[in-house]
Amino acid sequence: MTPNLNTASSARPPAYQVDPTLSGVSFLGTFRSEFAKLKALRTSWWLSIVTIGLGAFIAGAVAFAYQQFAGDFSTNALDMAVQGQTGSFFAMILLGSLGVIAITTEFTTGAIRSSLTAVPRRTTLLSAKALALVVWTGLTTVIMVLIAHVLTALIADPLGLGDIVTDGEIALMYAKTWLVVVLTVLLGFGLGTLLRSSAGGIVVLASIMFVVQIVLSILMGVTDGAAWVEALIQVEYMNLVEGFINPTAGEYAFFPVLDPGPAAVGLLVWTAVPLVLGWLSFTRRDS
Amino acid sequence: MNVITAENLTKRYGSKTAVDGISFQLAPGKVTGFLGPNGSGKSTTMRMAVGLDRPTAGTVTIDGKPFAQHKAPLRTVGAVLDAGATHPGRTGRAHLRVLAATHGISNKRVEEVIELTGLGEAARKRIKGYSLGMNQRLGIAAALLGDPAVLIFDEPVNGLDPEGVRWVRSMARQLAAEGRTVFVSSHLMSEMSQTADHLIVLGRGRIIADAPIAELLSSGEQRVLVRTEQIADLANALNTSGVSLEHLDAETLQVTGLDPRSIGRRALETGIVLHELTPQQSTLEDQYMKLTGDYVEYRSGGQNQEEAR
Repeated sequence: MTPNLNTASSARPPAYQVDPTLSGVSFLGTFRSEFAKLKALRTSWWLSIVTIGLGAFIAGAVAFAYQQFAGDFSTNALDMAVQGQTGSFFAMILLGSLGVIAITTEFTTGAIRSSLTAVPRRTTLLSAKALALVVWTGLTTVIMVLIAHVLTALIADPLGLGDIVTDGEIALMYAKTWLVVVLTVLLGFGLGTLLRSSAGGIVVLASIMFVVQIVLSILMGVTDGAAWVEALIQVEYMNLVEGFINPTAGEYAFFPVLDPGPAAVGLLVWTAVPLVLGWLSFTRRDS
Repeated sequence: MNVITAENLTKRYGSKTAVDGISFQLAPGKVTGFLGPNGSGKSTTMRMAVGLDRPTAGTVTIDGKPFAQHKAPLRTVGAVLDAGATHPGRTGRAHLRVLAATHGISNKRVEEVIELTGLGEAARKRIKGYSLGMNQRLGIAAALLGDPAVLIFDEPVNGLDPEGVRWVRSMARQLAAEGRTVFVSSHLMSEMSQTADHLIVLGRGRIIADAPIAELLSSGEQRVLVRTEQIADLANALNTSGVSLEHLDAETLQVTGLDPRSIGRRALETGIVLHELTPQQSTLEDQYMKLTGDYVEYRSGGQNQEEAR
């Protein structure tokens, strides 16, 4: 069908011209916009404050408990530092949930339609949102790790305040803790993008972190330690986290743990799969 | 240029065809009304124009390019597609600022559109406290943020008070007078008749009319109201092929198919005294009902019962 060109008005004004020198949409501008959205979201603040508070509380409690019973057993600075970061497990689920919510609220509120009319290139919008999330949760995790370190070092003798810069192993363990939290945030973000449901995304994330491990443990017992179950346990998310962060995990773990290198690859795959599927869904589905 | 072009645009949801191979072109400098009953495919077409929905077939472009390929989308098209497309926890001002940030638009411009749309003090409040009318104003403020060349408004007067409705009408007219392309949807012909220069009427996903308002009006059948004490004689005199008569009361006839001059002449020839001879202007509402009568997807129960009798 040939389009009809409207010809109603006899004297139409000249077409309005947009000044071509005015700024257009940019990745930096979109990142600023997405970071501002996170800042304006009360949930971001609450989840971050609870993450830092819980991380500090757990570090203090663990260090205090060690100090009380220091005579009964001894440990080294690295082990103490690892124990002091126990709160990072809570950071993973809390900030991972923020990763889910950061995208799902756009869908549940309909705000995604405003966002996409401003930034219709969906890959740009999604990557700017992911980067803003990484910056926000990355900063939160840095604060949590540092406060946990300071509290642990101040309360428990084996760990010194300066060990964070003088002991390479401790600094590396803290960096890995940071990376694992951020990867879990991106895992949540990928799940949220894919499922477009806050409840669905958080339940799946929590299942990946806590339920799969339990199910595999039961299977291990039922199958009398079948090789395929053992293989699955090795690539289970929290087992990979343990293998990647904790340099002594293999010494006392009940189940086999991968070395840090393969564990890092496994964690990257766990994060990449929902992210890529989420991106495919986001760029192809109607909004 | 600022031209919106749809070519063979189609959108299907499973077995349901929402938009069925439509083609049109909208030029700048006028308000084009997009009219049709609920579910006729107006919103879907507008969503496809700004890339929110992907066409199943066909294309829709702005100045020859898909919307997403424009360097400055907010300066190219301002769209109000859904008054609720905002995060309820943000303030109106914060909502506008996050959109402005994507294009490096200044906070000064944000304040300008807040003033322009009458949001005023409400811009400081969280959106969850907004009425539907305030949400509409916020949506329009967002659409105007980039001072764009093309404006797409989907049912912009929904929820507005009479002052707000008048404001939207005059704003649409003003924007078109500045040479912008203004595309406004509505399911109310009365609203369109006061705003649009040109109409595209949609029914069940297909274009059933695409013409200037004046042309649509003139295409309607002319009706003439005639009052006389000799109504039976007049009915006999006028009762010829192509003429239909409707008795409104004991002295009044509504005649369709004859112009007032011919009616007056026949009355004179047959010696009938007329008390009134009034041409009835066919309204856009009549034309709209006539055009879309077969395309209405959802009818009220009362109307169905009436038709069933």
